[in-house]
Amino acid sequence: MRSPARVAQQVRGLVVVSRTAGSAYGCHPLKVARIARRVRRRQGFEYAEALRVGALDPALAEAERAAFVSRDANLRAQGPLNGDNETPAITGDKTVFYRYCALLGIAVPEMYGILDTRASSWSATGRVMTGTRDIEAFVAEDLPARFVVKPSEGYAGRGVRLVERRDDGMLQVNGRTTTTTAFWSELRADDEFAVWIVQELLVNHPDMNAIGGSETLHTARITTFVRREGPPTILFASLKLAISGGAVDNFQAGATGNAMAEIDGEGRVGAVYTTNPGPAGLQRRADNPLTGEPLTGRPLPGWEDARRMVLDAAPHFLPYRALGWDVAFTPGGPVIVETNTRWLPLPYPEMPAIHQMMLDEGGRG
Amino acid sequence: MRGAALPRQAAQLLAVSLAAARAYRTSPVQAARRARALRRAQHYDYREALGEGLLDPRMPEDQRALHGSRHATLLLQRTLNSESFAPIAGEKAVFYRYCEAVGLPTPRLFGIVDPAASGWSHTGLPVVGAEGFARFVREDLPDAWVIKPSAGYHGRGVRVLRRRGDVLTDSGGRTLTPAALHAELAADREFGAWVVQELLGNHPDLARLIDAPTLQTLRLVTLVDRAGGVDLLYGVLRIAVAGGATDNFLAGESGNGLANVSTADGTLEWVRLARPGGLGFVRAQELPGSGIRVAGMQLPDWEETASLVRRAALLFLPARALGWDVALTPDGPVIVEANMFWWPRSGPEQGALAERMRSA
Repeated sequence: MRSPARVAQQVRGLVVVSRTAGSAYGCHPLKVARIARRVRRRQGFEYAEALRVGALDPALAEAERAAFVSRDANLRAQGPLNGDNETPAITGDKTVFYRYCALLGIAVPEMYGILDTRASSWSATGRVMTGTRDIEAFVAEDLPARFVVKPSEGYAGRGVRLVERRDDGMLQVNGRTTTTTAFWSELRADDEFAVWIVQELLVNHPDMNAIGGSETLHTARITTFVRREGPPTILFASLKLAISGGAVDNFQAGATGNAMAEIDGEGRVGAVYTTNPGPAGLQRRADNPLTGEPLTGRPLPGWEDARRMVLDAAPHFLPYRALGWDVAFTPGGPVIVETNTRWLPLPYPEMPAIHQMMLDEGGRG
Repeated sequence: MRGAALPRQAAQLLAVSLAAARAYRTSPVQAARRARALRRAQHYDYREALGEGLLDPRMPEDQRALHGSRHATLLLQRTLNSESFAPIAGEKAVFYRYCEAVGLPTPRLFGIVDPAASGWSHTGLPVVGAEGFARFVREDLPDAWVIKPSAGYHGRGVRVLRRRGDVLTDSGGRTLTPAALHAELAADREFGAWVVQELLGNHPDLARLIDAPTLQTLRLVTLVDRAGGVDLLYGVLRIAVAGGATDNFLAGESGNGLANVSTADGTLEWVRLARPGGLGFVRAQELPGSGIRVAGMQLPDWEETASLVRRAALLFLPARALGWDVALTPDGPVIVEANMFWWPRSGPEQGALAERMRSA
């Protein structure tokens, strides 16, 4: 039974979203509220989510609106395909994922160590670490000058730190200057994560810098699917463009300030999506929103290798059948950065057909 | 909440004290005092102290003080075993694939079954629904195999199955169809995912110990020191004298025996059995019933086994104190499980063991 507090919270959310959309689209809030209620009932959209992806635009034909796939509907379709929260995933914990991939010969960032703020830590050199002095020696002796630290159970880019060790021994952590001891204390004080992995800092292939800029790594999300019969296939692919200046390229329906671009079957950049000025809907364009550089039709470097890599990797992760792989295009070739068992739908024209196919394959169509 | 727990603890203390008083012909008040002292000083649960025989008034105090409770051991293990490896050690669906990738011998994994979602067959295809499971059993599995919960423990839910035509028979002689088994798995309220794997057999030297095909495994606990060296903390061989589907000791409740292994040379020292009446243990040189002498018996392939777990321990860092269950088969040692949070063995030897973990 829904609690009165929850109902009140939803009503507040509906009012805020309706007013915002009414203002953005120049129509009465009540009209948008009715649309918001409809897409919630019919498609499982949260009010704010519907606003962000543009599903509340009153100018849309109803068939167009019905084609939007909500996060909730997508996750429900993924459930029976991806373990339904019962079968444990090799992908869930990055300490396991990276080791497993490396053993199978799948290209992943080199892992330098695992830091556990509550128990013992480990360096790839074989060093066992149990205290601050060991961590200091690890940073000074076992690591290259630049590396990444991220939570082993992280998600949506949370907690990712780009670290540079300076000649004077101080560290630059996401641009801040600190000491190894203070940095270790910071990790130990983290309320959300206890285990951190230390790994290679990947850099973009020069062609990727030309597409999205050189500040942050841009990754492609390539979604693979294993049908009941036949070889694995690619459902769709997109490119996350880290244009917001942060440490990560996550798009999150535009909430991060980053952009996202379609990738066609030949590995060429298609339409680019970014948030509209104002909070309602996504803008579809042909260039980099930051630089104005035309992007449509630009080939991704090493696309064929990336495609082959995720298709080869997918069977090793069964019974998980619908996986979203994040692939970096580096000067040395494509590298898998992570894989996701719960991935979000994109505003692609083919998304409703993909959603239906997932329901059918999972026996819930 | 402590307020709610207090009456429950008091009731447990009362029941345990009365049981100890009956068993040892002593005063319940004395037994209660002893149980309270063990709880305060050594973190013993009242029932655990009773089951371990620690409320026996004849036990010298210095001997009692050397025992270590499960809780005390758990606290030490948490300082040594990174939780990052819980998915590898705790979930067999992950553990076996990781071991296979890293080159550690484990039972061959034939598939993963999730009745509510998709499963996987070693042939490379998904296994979906009751029909898909029946096809998997018919076409992808050998005649005999094991199915067990991915997150299982203490042998719970383990089924050894043999197929003849379209009918399966379990180790208790019960027959069922693959569809009925699938329905059973789907109805299980404790476990959602199951692994299907090779049925291992005992090495002839171990097979002769019991009159049943039950797999008997060796528990070896490794400790990686700060310099990266690997010590064998202790070893025990589970002897399935009770004749059930598994060899688990379960603090003696299973009726099985636990033989102490010398980690220096792999010989068996004595076997621990539940004391008649269920409180505490007896040590024997021979197995009950058969009279087979186990003391002095050399485990087969000992050097290879010790070397295997030492190698495995380094592949599971940063977890530093792991309990490995190893099957000694006719083809050599095979790792069946790794446990991050293993129970300490019973006995005064626990004191020295705890000290080694504390200083590691």
